[in-house]
Amino acid sequence: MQVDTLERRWVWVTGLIVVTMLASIIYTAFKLHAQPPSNVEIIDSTQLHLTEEFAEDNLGPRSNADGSVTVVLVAHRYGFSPNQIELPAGVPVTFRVATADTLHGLHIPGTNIDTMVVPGYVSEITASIQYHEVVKYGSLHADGKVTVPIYCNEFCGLNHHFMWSRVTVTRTPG
Amino acid sequence: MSKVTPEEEKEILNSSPKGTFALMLAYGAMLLVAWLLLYFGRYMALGPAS
Repeated sequence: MQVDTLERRWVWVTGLIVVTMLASIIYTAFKLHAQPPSNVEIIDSTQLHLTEEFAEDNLGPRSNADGSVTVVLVAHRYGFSPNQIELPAGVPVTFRVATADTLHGLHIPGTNIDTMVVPGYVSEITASIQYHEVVKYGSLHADGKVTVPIYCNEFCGLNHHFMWSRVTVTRTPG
Repeated sequence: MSKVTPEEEKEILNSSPKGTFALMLAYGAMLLVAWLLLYFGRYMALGPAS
């Protein structure tokens, strides 16, 4: 098959681009554990209040023995429960979120915490909040804490644009 | 402007275009650098999520 020199060179260039991108993605996926949230866990969205984990009294952040934090949230029209949480920066934080009604999203600016919350499923995403990044997007307090919004980024109804909550990030020593 | 002899003109027309390749190479390099900056400088700088 006759392939022009220019075309053959361009194949090498595009091949190099694709290989570099794939190598970067594979490296960060395996070495740094940067992977799309893929938790498959079903739950009855109409019975959240009857489950132990998503009962009103058990919502919010809790510290684990290994220093990480697990946050349990319920998304609903038009807000998140609880609507104010406080998290430390620089430690792994796992969000477990379920919706009580329709499709919602969860996004915290300045972080890679961004997931859909689908009715009937528990969404789970783990990330570490970088203080120097969230400080660009939030309100800095005199004591060094930063408050950033938690947004719903999936259209969920007429008041979708009013659906947000707050997370206050505390700076960890060191 | 220098005159191009018929032999040189024939050689140029039969050879692979160097200017086009240079443009494509520059475009490819810009694309790759921009992608790497976004991926490592913006996405991964926020901390890996899983």
